[in-house]
Amino acid sequence: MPTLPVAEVDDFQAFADHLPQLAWIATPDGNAYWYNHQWYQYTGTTPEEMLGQGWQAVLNPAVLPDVIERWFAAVASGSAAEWVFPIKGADGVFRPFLTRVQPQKDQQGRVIRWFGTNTEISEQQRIAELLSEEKRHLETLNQTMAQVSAELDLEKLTQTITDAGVRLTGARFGALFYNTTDERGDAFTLYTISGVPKESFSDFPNPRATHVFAPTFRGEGPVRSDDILADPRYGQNPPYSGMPKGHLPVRSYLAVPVKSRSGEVMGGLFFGHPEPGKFTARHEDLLVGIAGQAAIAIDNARLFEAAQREIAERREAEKHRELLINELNHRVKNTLATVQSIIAQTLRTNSLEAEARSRVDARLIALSDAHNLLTEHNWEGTTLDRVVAMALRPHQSDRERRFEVHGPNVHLSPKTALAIAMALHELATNAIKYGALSNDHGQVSLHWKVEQKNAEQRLHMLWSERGGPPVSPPSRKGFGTRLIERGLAAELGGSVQLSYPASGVTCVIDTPLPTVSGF
Amino acid sequence: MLVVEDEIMVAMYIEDLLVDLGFEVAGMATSLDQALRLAQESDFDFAVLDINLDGGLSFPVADVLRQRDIPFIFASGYGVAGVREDYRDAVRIQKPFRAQDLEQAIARATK
Repeated sequence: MPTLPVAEVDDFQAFADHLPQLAWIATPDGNAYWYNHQWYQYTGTTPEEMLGQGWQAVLNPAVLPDVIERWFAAVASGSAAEWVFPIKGADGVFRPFLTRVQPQKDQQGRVIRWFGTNTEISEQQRIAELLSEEKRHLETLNQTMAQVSAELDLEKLTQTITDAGVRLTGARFGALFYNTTDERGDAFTLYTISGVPKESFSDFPNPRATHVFAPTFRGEGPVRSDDILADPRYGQNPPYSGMPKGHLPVRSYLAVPVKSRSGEVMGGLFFGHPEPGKFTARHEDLLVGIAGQAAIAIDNARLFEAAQREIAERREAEKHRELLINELNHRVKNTLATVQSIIAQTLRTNSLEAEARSRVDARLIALSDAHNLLTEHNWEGTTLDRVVAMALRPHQSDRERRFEVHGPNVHLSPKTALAIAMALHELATNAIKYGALSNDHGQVSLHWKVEQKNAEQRLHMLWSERGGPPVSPPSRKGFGTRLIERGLAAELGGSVQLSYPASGVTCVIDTPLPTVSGF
Repeated sequence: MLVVEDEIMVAMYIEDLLVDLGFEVAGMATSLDQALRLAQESDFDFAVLDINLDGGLSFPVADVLRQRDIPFIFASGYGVAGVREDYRDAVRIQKPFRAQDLEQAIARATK
């Protein structure tokens, strides 16, 4: 064994004692016989206690067999080695150490002694753990960001955000309460739960602006409490003065408001843990980040929903417009066909051109007047007295007292109104030409009443002429007569009876009154 | 001839046109129910169908006619968009129409 001069031995001792690491020297067969000052100071042992295999006392019995095996394997092979295991300090706390063993060899390569060092790595391990935790957080944040930016479904994205909050803070449960509006624009609050089934919350009312919750709902900033039960803000509010019965057990509490770019408070993120002291400032920072994400995502989803709603409304309006145009076109075509029919019918039975033209004009004007009445009320119908007044007006002038009109106010569907208007026009025209209005003292009375029969309403109308020249039934039926007898009956689904007693023409109309609808 | 048309004045006009063209009008219907009954029960060899019957559509009548192998044409204020998919090929004239339009349509439908 080589020896050092005495002065150098002292220098070595001083140097070794100033090393921050624990250091020791062992015989070639692995028995430690010298330890530096750091070793005794950290382990709180004495040189006597360290004699022989005394070092084994500062190791955890659980890892000791493995350490012994590795150490004597190194001794047997004569090669350097390193491994990590905990060593007990004077305070009884095991701390992680990196242990390195290095053999010193002579010129023949035989081991003459072993140098060992133990370097505490608590700090490195703590940093490594922090780094890995930070990495996990960043991954969670990134994932959340990617998921919520691709998600426009409010329910799904709030769930993603709440889940991320629970993962990031290590909370036992979390909730996101957010304000939204329905199709009618009414505001209400929804919530998403993470960590517990939704039923755990469904029995409770939404959080109110209590001392604990108010700062969040007012958007004042995060609220973090190591133990909410011991917090002065807690338990101040009736009716519960604490948590409602059956509430999830919360000690650690952390909440942040969710605010939009415009500063509007959209809701809040709430997290809880049944044990105290679980949430740190770091968790609070992470949640503020998540709340920012939540605000943007909820804003986007709301905008998207509003846009979707508007698109749907526009489509609906467009569809309605097309329907209206189609219906209008149909109606115009039918009206033209009706006009065409009137002209053809009139010309067919009237040889005199001038008279034919005036009858066409009169009929078209009667039809047009009836349309005017209906257009006034958006084609929702009109009243019988208006129809009668309109139909008889062209024939009244100085003969005002020759019509006697009486009947209750009755609402008519567009179709019924048109049919009655045209029939009255024909009756009046006929009366002027051949009947009671062809001389200067004949009279026409027009009476009607409405009868209720079960669920059905029926209209009875009576047109009767008197004081005109003696009447004889027409030799052939003109358009007017056909229109009254067949047309009116068919249009109304009722019966029309036209008779020609010598004293004057009568016409009895009996028709159901349909509920006002359609054309 | 069966005429199905809910506007009575138009129905009367069609009736006159048909008579002038030498046809006999066997029946006239102004509602869907009436048209269905006549289509099923009465005797005729051709029909002129309006499509919109006071809100209802006359296609069930066309179904009956097709089943009975009786030719028909549609006479309507609607364009082709108003015709049910399976009747897009049926002969159709748009109101208002002239006597010769009706005559040609009948000729095409009975060919």
